[in-house]
Amino acid sequence: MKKNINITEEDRKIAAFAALAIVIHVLESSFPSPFPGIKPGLANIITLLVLFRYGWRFAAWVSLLRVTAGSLLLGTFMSPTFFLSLSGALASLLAMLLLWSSIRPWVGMAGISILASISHVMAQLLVAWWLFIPHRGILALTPILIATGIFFGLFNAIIASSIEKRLTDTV
Amino acid sequence: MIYDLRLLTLNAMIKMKVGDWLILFLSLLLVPLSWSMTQSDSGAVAAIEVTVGNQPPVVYSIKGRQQITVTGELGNSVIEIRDGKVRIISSPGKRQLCVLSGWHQQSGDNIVCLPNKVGVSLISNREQFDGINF
Repeated sequence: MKKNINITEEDRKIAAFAALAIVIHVLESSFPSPFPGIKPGLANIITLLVLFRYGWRFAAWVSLLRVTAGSLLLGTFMSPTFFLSLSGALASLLAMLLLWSSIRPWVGMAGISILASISHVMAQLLVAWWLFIPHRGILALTPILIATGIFFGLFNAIIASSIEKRLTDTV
Repeated sequence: MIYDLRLLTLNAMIKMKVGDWLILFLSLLLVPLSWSMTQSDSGAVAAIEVTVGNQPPVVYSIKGRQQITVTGELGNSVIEIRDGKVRIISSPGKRQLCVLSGWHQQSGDNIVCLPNKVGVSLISNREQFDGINF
């Protein structure tokens, strides 16, 4: 049985951006971190860019493809790491969707990135607490994670916006 | 070459809208807020549990000063409680390990005088865990 799958131009773009995000995701995972659980989340630069250029649905595709394919490449698929990653991605997508559909005219990349980043770490923290380490001690990490979340959220937004300025409309 | 320090401000690096500033400041407020909510004395010892032989454990408060004498397999073990700390003063064991281990004040700690079958556990109101490894 032959089945034709129609690949649209949008599919190709999603695949291309997801590929970029996956490369960043995999590269970043090999960076040493001074503190377990704290990393810049540079792949979200791509998610941000895509969100602002093509909208929320597109960003959700890129982000979820990145988490899934990234975990397959790293060998963490279906492991605790994967579920932490997935919960973070879902939470930050939800935060993006809420901002995008409510106060879109008043926020730019910075606000969306910071809020998405905080949602990301908080979701991961809660999942880690519920599923893996049911101890209140883990919640003591909250302020540290929020602080680094704000920093890297802003950092990624700055990079994303400077890329955005340089992107031509043909992309 | 003249460097323009204005390039280092946030507005020069990224276009900040009203909502961006609002989100930035509100989320910065979250840091001290979450700090005060989570950095409590989770390791505080609430009580000690003294177990002798196969008897069910007896709970004593950790506050104030008191000496508890329990009779185990070989004789009397004397437990001293002083302002949130616990130690064994004397026990009939040959090697005196529990006596020599000194003061204990961390919840989750245990003092065991094995020959005399006496155990003291420092417990807190919070759930405990030792460690985790994937």
